[in-house]
Amino acid sequence: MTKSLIHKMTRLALLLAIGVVINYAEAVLLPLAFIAPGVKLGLANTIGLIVLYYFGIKEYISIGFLRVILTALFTGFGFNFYIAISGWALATIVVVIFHYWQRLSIFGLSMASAVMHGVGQIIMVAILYQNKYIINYLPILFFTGIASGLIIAVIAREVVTRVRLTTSLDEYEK
Amino acid sequence: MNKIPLKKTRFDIYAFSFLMLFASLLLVITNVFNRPNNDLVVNVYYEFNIIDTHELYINQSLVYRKDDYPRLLDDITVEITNGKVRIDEETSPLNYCSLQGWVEQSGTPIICAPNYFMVIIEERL
Repeated sequence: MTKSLIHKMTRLALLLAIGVVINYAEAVLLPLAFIAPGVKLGLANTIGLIVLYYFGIKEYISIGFLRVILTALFTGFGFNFYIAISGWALATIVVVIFHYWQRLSIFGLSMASAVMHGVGQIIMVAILYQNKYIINYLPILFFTGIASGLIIAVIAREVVTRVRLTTSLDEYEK
Repeated sequence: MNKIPLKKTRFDIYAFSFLMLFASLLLVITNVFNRPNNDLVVNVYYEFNIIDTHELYINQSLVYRKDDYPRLLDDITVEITNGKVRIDEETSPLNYCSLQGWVEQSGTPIICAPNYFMVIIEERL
């Protein structure tokens, strides 16, 4: 294993760990779900955007997936896990599509990701409960997703412009 | 590798506008076409199935016990008062469903995800 690969894996592991901690800390310290079920700022998505910016789409998918799995180790692989994985899956599909389209900036990608995360969650809950009224939460999750997506994009942009990872990571580009 | 732009593009504005418009449209559609308004009752779901139906205008406090419903994290108390319903007491890591408070709008579920429990005002089935 080359030094550069070890370096890359170490940084990704560190970002993954930060993502899991932020995810858990946000749920405890910044609960917004009293607005509506599923509403959250999604601070851990800043890590996803940072990974996407510095490493690329494969790493973005891997780190996102691992974050959901590792978070489930704390909260269990029950109902919450189904909701989380469906939200992640839909958000990731949309981000991958828009990333290859190359027209949206970090703001557009973050917004689309946040909104689709909520949509994925609602679809899963509606399927599990077989209840059409679950989708009444969609507009709230759209509006809060747009707002949280923009906030997350601002934070992620500040991080990538202030934290100088670029020079040490450019060597990993193929 | 193409890095994602950090400055907003006009496509971001289009995306923002589209999402806002779509969300507004959804808000209207769900409120006009997806709200039950006849013969309303409180339905209680456990593990994705209806386990109980209660009259909306009979004030009552109902306790669902973990002994009877093993996937509950602990007993759950549902309170129905004057056409409104709430989860009064529950055990969960973040207490989202009790934090949601009173719900009087039909078709708005109260979901206690870790407990596999949901309460909603909807039409009698």
